[in-house]
Formats: sequence, C-alpha cells, structure tokens
Amino acid sequence: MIKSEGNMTPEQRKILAQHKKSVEFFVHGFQNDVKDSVKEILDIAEQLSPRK
Amino acid sequence: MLKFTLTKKATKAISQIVGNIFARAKKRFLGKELGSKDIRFTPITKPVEHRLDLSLRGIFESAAKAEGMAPNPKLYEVIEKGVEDYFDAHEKLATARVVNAVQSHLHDLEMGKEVKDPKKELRNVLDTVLEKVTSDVKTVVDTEGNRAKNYSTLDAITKITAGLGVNDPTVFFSGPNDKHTCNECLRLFFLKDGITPRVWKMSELKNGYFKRGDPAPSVAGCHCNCRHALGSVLPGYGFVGGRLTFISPGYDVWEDQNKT
Repeated sequence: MIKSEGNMTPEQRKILAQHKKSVEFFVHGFQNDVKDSVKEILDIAEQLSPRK
Repeated sequence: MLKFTLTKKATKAISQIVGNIFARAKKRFLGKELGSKDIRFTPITKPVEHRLDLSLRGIFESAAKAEGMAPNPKLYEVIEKGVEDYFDAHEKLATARVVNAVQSHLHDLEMGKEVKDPKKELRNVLDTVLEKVTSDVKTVVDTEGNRAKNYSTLDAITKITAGLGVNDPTVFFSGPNDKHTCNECLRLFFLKDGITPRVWKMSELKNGYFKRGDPAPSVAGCHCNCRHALGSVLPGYGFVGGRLTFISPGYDVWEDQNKT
C-alpha cells in the first residue's frame, strides 16, 4: 500500500483488488476462446477458398 | 463487382462461432448458463469456469457487505441486464466485422490477388479484428464492474444515511494520488492540496459514462483501471491529512469545501 492509499478502508482495498482480478480472469478466458474460434473460422474459410 | 459472397451456411457458422465466444463470456462474468445452441462447436466443449468471487455479482455483493449491508437483488438485476445488453451489442458488431473480414479475404483471392500464404494472412486480419473486440469487451467488464461496485456501495450508503435523516449523502472517492493518477481523477477526487479528498453530494454524480472535462465524476468512475473507490462521509466527519476523521458534531464537510 502506498501512503496516499491510507484514506481507503481495508474493505475498499480488497474490493478494488477483487475487481482487478475479475477483469484479468475474464480477459484471460475470453482470449483463449478467441484463439480457439479463430482456428474454427480459418477452417471454414479454407473450405470455401477458391485456391484450395 | 463482387465476385465472391459467403454462403448463408458459412455466414451462419461464423455467427455461431462468434456467438459462442460471447455466450461463454456471459457464463464467465454473469453466471448465465450456456444454451444448447452454444455447445455445438468444438471450442465450446471446453468447460467455462465461472467464479462467483470474480464475477459481476461477486463484486456487487462484496461492495454492499463492505458497508455492512445486504446486497440489493433488484438493483443487481438492472445492472446485470445492462451488461448483458452491452455483450449482445458487441457480439453483433464482432460478427459483422469477422464475416466482413472473411468475405473480403475470399473475394480478394477470387479476384486473383497475389497472396503468399492466404491462411496466414487471414489469421493476421482476424487477430487484429478480434484484438479490438477483446479490448472493447474488456472495457465493458472493467467499467461495468466498477459501476456495479459503486452502485452497490451507493445503495448501502443511502440506506445507512436515510436512518440518520440524510436524503442526499456526501460521498468521496478514496484512493491514491501518485505518478499514475490521471489529471481527471486528480481534478475531481482531490482538493488543490492533492491530499484531501474532494467531496460530492450523491445527487451531483453523473450516471452515464464519464467524459473528459465533465464537471462531476460518474458513479461508474472516470476510466478503466481506476483505483479510486466510492465511500461516504457521515455528518460530523471530515478529513485530516487525507484521512477520514471525526471533526465535530454538526460539521458538514461538503459545505466547508464548497463555501465561497
């Protein structure tokens, strides 16, 4: 904790940390899903490609 | 003239793949169960981890409990519906962008564009499109998480202060003033000394998204990754050296800071 965070209660600091972790957790999962989905989309595009 | 157009079947398949990303996002952040149409494609066979403590509800409940109050379920429903609507809107936008990227790529190939590695090129385009989607959705989750936290806090504060006969509670945003603090947070959350938190009446706060230069902060906070948290100042309390402290009975910190 830095000095200027002294005006925050321990509960407020805890919720801020919880919020930050929630965003990280969400983005990590979302990025993994995007990665899997790109593979699927590439497969579809390949099947339709005029230069197969 | 457009030579190549995606078939309806291919467009539908791409829409479903993008839809699945968002169905899983809703499950992860909102705890919404996946529908049967969301589990048809291979990436979806992986289970989605939903953690209550790292969800919108978890943030909302923690904020109310931190004030010693029970969370307000009706308020949560309204906030959750707002997030779901944002996800739906971003899903439509993402689907349009991805379909357009695939369509353009295949059209260029059909027109004889020289491409060394077509698959790699399309991958690069999709990566760029979906990076933007990820960034936009991250903004939604961050901002709406902050909004849920602050609305839940406000709801609890309103109930507490109503018992003290206060209809329009005095609030402030606590948090650091350091080299990472932005000018807007500095302007709206601190007095000119840079230490004492600036107080606001609850009625002064903006409800929509904050825009640079707004005269008052938003309940949702000023920006993504904001490290400032909403808190209340009860009658008689003020700040000494930046810390919330009891000053004297009847002391009104809002009046003190706003006297001309």
